[in-house]
Amino acid sequence: MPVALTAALVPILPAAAFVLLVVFGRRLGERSGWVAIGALAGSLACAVVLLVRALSAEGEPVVHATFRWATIGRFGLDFGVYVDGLSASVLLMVAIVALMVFVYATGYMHGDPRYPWFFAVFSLFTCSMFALVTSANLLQLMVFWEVMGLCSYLLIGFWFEREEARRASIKAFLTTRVGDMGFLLGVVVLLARVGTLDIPVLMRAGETTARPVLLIACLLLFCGAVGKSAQFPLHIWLPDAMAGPTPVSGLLHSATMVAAGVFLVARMYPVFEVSGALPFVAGAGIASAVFGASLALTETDIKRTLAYSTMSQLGYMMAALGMGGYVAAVFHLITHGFFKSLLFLSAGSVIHGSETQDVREMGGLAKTMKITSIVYLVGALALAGIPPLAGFFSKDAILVSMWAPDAKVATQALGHPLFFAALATAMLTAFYMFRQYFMVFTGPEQRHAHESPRAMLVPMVVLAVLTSVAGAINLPGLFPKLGELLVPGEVENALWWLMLLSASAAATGVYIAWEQNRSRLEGAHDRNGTFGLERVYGSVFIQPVFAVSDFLRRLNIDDIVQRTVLDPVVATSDFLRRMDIDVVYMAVFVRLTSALAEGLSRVDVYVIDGAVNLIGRAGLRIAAALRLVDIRAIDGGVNAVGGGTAAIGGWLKRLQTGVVANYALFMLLFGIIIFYVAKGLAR
Amino acid sequence: MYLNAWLAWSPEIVLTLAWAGMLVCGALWPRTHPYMRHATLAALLIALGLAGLVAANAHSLYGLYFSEAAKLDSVTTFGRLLFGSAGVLVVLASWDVHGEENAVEFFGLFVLSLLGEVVIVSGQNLLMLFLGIELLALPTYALIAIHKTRARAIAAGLKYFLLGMFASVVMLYGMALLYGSLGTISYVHALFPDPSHLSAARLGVLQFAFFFLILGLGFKVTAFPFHFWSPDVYAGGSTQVVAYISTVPKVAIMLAIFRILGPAFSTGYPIAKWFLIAIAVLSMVYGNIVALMQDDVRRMLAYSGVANTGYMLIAIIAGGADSQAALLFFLVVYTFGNLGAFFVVLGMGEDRHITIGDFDGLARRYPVLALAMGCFLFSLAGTPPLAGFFGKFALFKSAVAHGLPLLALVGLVTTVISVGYYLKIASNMYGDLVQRDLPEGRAIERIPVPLRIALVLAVTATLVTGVLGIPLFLGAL
Repeated sequence: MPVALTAALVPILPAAAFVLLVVFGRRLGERSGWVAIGALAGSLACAVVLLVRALSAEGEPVVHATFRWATIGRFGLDFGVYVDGLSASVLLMVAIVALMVFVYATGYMHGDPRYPWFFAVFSLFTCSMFALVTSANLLQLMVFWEVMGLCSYLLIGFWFEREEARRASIKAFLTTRVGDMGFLLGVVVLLARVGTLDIPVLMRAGETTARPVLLIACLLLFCGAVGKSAQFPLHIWLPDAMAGPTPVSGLLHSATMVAAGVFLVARMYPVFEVSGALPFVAGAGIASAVFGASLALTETDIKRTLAYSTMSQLGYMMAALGMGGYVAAVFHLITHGFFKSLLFLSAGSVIHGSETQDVREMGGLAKTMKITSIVYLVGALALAGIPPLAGFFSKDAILVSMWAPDAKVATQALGHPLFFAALATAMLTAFYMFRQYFMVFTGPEQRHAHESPRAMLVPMVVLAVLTSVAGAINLPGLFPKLGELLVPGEVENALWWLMLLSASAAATGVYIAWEQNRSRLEGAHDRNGTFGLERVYGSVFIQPVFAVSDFLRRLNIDDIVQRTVLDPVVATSDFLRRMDIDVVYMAVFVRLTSALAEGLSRVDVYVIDGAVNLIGRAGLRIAAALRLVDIRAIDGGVNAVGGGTAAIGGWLKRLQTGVVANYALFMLLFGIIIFYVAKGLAR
Repeated sequence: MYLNAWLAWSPEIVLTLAWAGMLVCGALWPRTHPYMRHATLAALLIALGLAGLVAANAHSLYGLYFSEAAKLDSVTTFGRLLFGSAGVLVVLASWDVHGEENAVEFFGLFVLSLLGEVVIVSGQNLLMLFLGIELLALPTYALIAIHKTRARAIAAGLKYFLLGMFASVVMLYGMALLYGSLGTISYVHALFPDPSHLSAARLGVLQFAFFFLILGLGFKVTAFPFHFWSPDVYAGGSTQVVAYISTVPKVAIMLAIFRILGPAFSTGYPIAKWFLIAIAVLSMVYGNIVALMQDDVRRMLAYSGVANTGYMLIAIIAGGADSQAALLFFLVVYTFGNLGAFFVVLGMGEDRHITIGDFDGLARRYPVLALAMGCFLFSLAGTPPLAGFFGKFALFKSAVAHGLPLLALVGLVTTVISVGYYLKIASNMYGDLVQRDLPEGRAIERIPVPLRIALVLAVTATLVTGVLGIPLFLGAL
C-alpha cells in the first residue's frame, strides 16, 4: 500500500464510520460502537506504519502528497497529507487514546437513546483531529480545526436536555471562536505576505519574509491556539465542558481538542522560532500553568479539578515551546494524552460507581473499586511527576528546557523565573492530585459504590500500563528516541540534580496532601486534636496557598473574561439575530410555501366551484357597464374594457394584505421574478 | 466663484435658513407657532423668485458645484420651480388643519424634505442621491403620522417607515455593489460605461447592483412590484401629506433616474433595459386594472400613481432629449393633476374613507368643486384638450421614435382602461344631472379659503400646461 494512501486512510476511516453511522446508526443500535472502533483500529494500524516509516526517515517527511483543490487568481490551493516525525508521533498517541476511549464509551454510554449518534459524532471528532495532524496546508488544517470545534459543541451539548450542558456547549463554541478569529486573521496575513499556505513552505518562511510580519502572523495564530488549548484568558470554557459525557471529556482533554492548539504551535514551530513570538507563548503558558494549578487546589468537583489540571499542563507545554523546548513539549503532549485520558476515564468510573461528582461526598472507594483506585493512582502519580512514570520524564524535560533554554529563542534570565514557577506548580499539582486521591479513595466509606463494567476497566488498565512505560520513548541520555525523531542530530543532555529536585518537589506535594488529609480525618473524629506537625504545615504552608486559590476564585476571572470577551460576541450574534435575518428567511421560505399553498387552494375554489360564479359576476359587471353606457353615453367602449378586466382586478387586489412583511416579501419576490424574466428577454 | 456659488444656491440657502429659523423661534417663543405657515409660504415664494433669477442668469451660474457633487442646469431649475410651486400648494392646503402644537414640526419637516428633493435632482453622484433620498424620506415618515391621535395615520407612518428603510438598505447595498464594480459613484459623465470595457464578472455584479438600485428607487416612485405600501399609506396618512408624497418625491427621483442612466444604458445593457420595460409594463397594467376595483378614492389614486409611474418609465427607457422633454412635461401634468385630486378629497373631509359613492351628485351641490375634480381627472386620464393628453402623447411618441412601439401600444391600451375609473367618479358627480333618483352623496363642511386658493391654482396650472402643451404636440407632429 502506498504510504500516501496509508496517511490518507487515517482520517478517512473514522470519516467513513461517521457516514455509516449517520445513515445506518438506527439500524445498528449498540453495534454502532464496534463499527467506530473497527474504523479506529484501522487508523491505529496505519498510524503505526507511519511511525515505523518516520523512524527510518532520518528527519525527512514520510509523506507529502497534495492535489490542487482550487486556483484563485495566481494562488493555488493544495490539499493533501503531510506526515513527518511530529505528525506521526502525535497521530499514534491520538489513535491509541481514542481507541481506548471508544472502547470505554461502549460501556459508559450503554443504554443511551442516542448511542449511535454519539459514536457518529465521536468518530467525526477523532477524524478531524487526525486530518488536522496530517494536513499539508494551513487552510486545510483550519477547516478541520473548525470541524473539531463543531463536534466539540455537539458532544459537550450531547445531553442537550440539560440546561447546563446546552450552555456549556455554546460557551465552549463561542470562546474557542474568539481565538479562531485570530487564527483566521493569522492565516490571512500569512497568505497575503508569504503567498502560500503549504505547511512545508511556510516552515521555511523565515528565509523570505520580514520578521515583523511573521511576528504578527504568529501572535494571531497563537490566539487560535489559546482558545483551543484553553490557555488563560480563554480557558473559561474548559471547566464547563465537563457537562458532556465523560468519554468526551477524556478525549477532549487529552488527545484531541486541547492538543490541537499545542500541535498548531509545534507544527509552525520554525516560523514561531524566527518570528520572536515565543516569549509571548512562554508567558501565556506559564501564566496558565500557575493559574490552573491554583484554581484546582480548592475545587471539589472531581472532573473540574482535572479540567483545571489540563489547563495547567497545557500551560507547561506552551511554556516549554516558548523556551525552545520543542521536544519536551511534544513529549509532554504525548504522555499527558495518556495519563490525562486515564484520569478522566477513571474519574468517569468513580462517578459511574458512586453517582456523585463531589469529592467531599466520596471516600473509601478503594475498597469497592479496587481496579479503578489502582489505575487512578497510576495516573495521579504520573501527573504529579513521580518517577518512573511517564509524566515524570516529560515534566523533567520541560524543566530542563526552562533551566537551560535554547539560546536562539530565550535567555537564562527569562528561563530561571519560569523554572521556579514551573517547579512550584509541579508541587501544587502533586498536592491537589493527591488531596483528591486521598479524599476519594481513602478514609471512611461515605456511600455505597460498585466497580464499573469490564468494557470500561480494560481501556483504563491499558492506559495505565502505557502511562507507566511511555516515559521510555525519550529517556534522556539513554534512549532519546522521540528527540531523534523530531529533531535529528540534536542531543538532549540530562540534568540529574534537576531530576532529583523535581521528584522531591512532587514528593513534597504528595506528603503535604497526605498530612492534610490525615488532619482532616482526625479533625472529623476529634475536634480538639493535638498540636502536631500537620498543624504547623497547615498554618505555614497550606493556609496561604489556599488563601491565594480562594482569592483567585473570588476574583472570578472567569466571570470577567466572560463579560469582556464572550458577552460582546453573544451580543453581536444577538444583534444580528435582531436584524431579523430569521424573519427574512421566514418571509422568503415559509411564507412562500404557504402563499403557494394558499394560491393553489384559491385556484381550486375559483376553477372548480367558482367558474359559474365568475361568469355571473362578469355578467353583472357588464350590466353595470351597460348602465353607464345607457345613462351617460360618454364612452361606453372604455367602460366595457374596464368591466372585463374587473374580475382580474379582484384577484390582484388580494395581494394588498396590509402586512408589512408581506409587502417586503412581494417587493423582493416579484422583483426577482421580473428581473429574471427580463434577463431571459434580453438574451 | 464663491459669490457665484452663494448666488447659485440661494434658493436652498433661503429654505435652510427658514427651516432653522422656524425651529429656533418655535422652540423659544410658542406664540410664533401660528405664523410658521406664513414663514414657510414666504420662504417658498422667495426661493421660487430666486430660482427664477438664477435661471435668468444661466450663462454665468449654471455648472458643476461642490467638487462636481451637484449640478445646476435646466433640469435642476425645473425641479426647483416645480417643487416650489407644489410646495406652495401643499402649504396652502395645510393652512388650517394642524393644531398649533404640530405646526413647527409639520412645516419644518416639510421644508426639509423639499430640500432633500433638490439634493436628489441636482446631485451628481450616488452619495448625494442617497443623502437626498433620506433627507426627503425621513421627514415624510413623520409627516404621514403628524396626526398623533389618529391610529390609522400612525399605522400608515410606521408601515411607510419600515418598508422605506427596507428599500433604502437594499438600495444602499446596490450602490455599494455599483461602486465595487465600477469604481466610481459619480454620474457627471455616464455612470454606466460602455459595457465592452467591463469584464464579465463585473457585468454580473452590475446586474445585481442595478436590481437593488431599482428596487430602492422603484419603492419611492411606487413602481410595480415595489408599490405595495402606497395604497395603505395613501389611505391612512394625512391627505395633504399624501398629496405631497404622491407627487414631488416621485418627480425628483424620476429626474434622478434619468440622470443616472446615461446614453450607453439603452443600447449597452439589455438586461437592465428589459428589467425596466417589464416594470413599466406591469406598472401600467397592474396599476390601472387594480385601480378599477377600488372603492376608496385615495386607494384608487394610489394605483393610478402606480400606473403613471409606468408611463414615466417609458420616457426613461426611450432615453434621448425628446424623451426628456416629454418626461418633464408629463411630470408637470401629473404633479398638478394628482395634487388637485387629493386636494378635492381633502376638501371633502379626511376623517373617514372617501369612497366613490361620496361623489354622487357632487356637481349639483358643489358645482365648482366638481368642476375642479373633473378637470384633474380628465387631465390624469389624458383626455384632450387637457394637459394630460399632450403629456401622454409626447411619451408614446418618444417611445415609438426610439423603436419601442409595443411599449407605446401597452401605454395606449392601459390609458383606455384607466379612463374607466377616472370616469366612474366623473359620472357619479354628474350622474344626477341626468338621472334624478340617484342617492345623495356626503355633505361637505365649508372648504377653507387657502384650500380653495390651492385648488384654483392647481386647476389653472393644469389648464395652462394644457395650453402650453399644444405647441409641443404640434411640434411633435
